Amino acid sequence: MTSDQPAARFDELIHFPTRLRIMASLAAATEVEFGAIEEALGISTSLLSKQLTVLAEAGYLQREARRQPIGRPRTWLRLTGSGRRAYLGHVEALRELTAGVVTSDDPDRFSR
Amino acid sequence: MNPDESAEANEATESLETIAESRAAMARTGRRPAWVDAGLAVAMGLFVPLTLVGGEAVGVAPVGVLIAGIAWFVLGERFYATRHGQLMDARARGARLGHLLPLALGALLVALFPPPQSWQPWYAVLVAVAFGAGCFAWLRWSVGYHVRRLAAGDYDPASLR
Repeated sequence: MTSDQPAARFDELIHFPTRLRIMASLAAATEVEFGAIEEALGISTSLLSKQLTVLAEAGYLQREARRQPIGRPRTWLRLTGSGRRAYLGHVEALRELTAGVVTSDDPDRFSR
Repeated sequence: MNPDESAEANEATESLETIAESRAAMARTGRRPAWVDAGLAVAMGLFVPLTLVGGEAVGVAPVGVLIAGIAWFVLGERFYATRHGQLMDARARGARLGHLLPLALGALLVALFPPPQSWQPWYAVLVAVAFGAGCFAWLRWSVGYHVRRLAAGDYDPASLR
């Protein structure tokens, strides 16, 4: 990645495995349709909806229902600016952990 | 590194692997479908031999076939993107034109060297099949390259759309 990396910041909310997978998927796109994430990650609709709600309530992603010419409206998902920063910061914190740079004893590195 | 740190490092490594797998799965799901590329490849395969035959027999058919192929490609990609989303950063958008350029140059090169009339119609059939298959392979390679790059995290998040 070539843009400015946010500071490493471990995020417990993002670290939950399903939410981490969702954030990783959304981080690679500007916006993605609900069904595409469901297909890509092989997550059940109910679990995906539940975790998306958690992330949306934290202000990490936006959900938008868009009408289609035919059929039901589709839900589109996108990371918010704070969500993308939190995700990139979390990834950086994981990288540092793998390098043994920080531990959970460093409280400033942990949020939520 | 004490045992706690080691456990944390292992968990962090697993999380990073999860991230890489999820990103790769998303990149595969968001790739351009083969039917979009197939339509353009068929049009290109027909365009070149029709141009070689030329004359009143085919009229403006080559141009019509080419326009139809390009329209299929553009609309098909748009259709898919509006229903699934599309993973596309600035480099991929720039590369799209670059990846189509060799197809146009190839068509031009073949058209510059018309064969003796006695070679027809087999030459036209051979060119249609070879050029169409070559176009399809080239387009799928460009999709695969784009997917591999995004899956590897080789993109600028600020340039995604």
